[in-house]
Amino acid sequence: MSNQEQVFKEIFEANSKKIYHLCFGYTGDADSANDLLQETFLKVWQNLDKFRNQSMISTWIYRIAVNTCLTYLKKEKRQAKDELTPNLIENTVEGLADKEKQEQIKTLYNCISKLDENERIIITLVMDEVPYPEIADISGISEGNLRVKIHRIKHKLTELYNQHERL
Amino acid sequence: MKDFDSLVGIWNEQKTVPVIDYKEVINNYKAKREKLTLKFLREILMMLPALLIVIYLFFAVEFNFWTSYIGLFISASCCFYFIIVQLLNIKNVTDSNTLFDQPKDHILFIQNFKKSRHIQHTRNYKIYTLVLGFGLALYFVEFFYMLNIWLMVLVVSATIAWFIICYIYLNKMYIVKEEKRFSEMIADLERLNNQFKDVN
Repeated sequence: MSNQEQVFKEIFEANSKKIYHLCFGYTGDADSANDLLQETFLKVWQNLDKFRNQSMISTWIYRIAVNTCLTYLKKEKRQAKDELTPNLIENTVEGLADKEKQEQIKTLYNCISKLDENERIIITLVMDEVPYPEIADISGISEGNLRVKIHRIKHKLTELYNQHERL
Repeated sequence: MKDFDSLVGIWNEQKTVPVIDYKEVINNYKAKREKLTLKFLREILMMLPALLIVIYLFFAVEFNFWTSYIGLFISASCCFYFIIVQLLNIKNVTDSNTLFDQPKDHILFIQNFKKSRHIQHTRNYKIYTLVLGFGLALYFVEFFYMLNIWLMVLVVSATIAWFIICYIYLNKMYIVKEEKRFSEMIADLERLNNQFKDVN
């Protein structure tokens, strides 16, 4: 394996899961999420030399992923699904025995899909515990505004989830 | 009733994993690059034969009228324009690295790119058709004096009919479809751009 491939492998392994969460939260289906993940890392591979001297490599990868998600929606004319497909639950929680937990995760993704595009991206980053300054850097929104936005999105998502559970 | 921390707890329980690995990405990159090269070649090969024929006629045939040379020159310029525009479009897309920019700047780039493509597909295409038609009309002037009148009428009628079909029917239909698609796309991009604007 060449040195370049080794570096790429390390970057992929360190970031792919979180990027996949972001793409899954944005699109609401596994196939599109895998496509977006692939497109994101194609760009990373293509620009590997530029990445080497970056201290916050994850910020750059997240930014590529966010831009890829936003453009992908336009390019493919896909809309996030209001109702997730039945196979989502299997893809999402593969390996989970607990049926109740499976249902909860399905409901959570369902509620995320009802948010606006930027809200979907921001809340996925928050739930994956990306620090606020990094989210601000990725999205280009000032930290002050971001905190207000996050507060609103948290409230909106919790409301949606509880409404869904009451049904 | 659950609070946000409980939702994060649910989120952390998921075991979602991508189905692709790093090797697949590298292999796909190579395949994609080859596909792009083929696209370059296809765009050129579509128009190149026409351009070569026109250039051949220009240099190999001795015309009596200057209008024939001007007509061929205009037609060759149209073919050349078509090839250059296609290549520039592909180059612009591959060279652009706005994916590294903040979302609002990336969306702005996409908006501007779509707008320029739209102008090419609508206004520029109209001009292209008219100029090509003018070039061919000039080229046919000499034929009026050389060919049998009925054969000439047939050739000119067929060419005019083809231009009417292309320009009035196909082009109009295409432009209407493009306009609809374009306004929907721009509205969507505008909405996304507003979502990432920093309100002070």
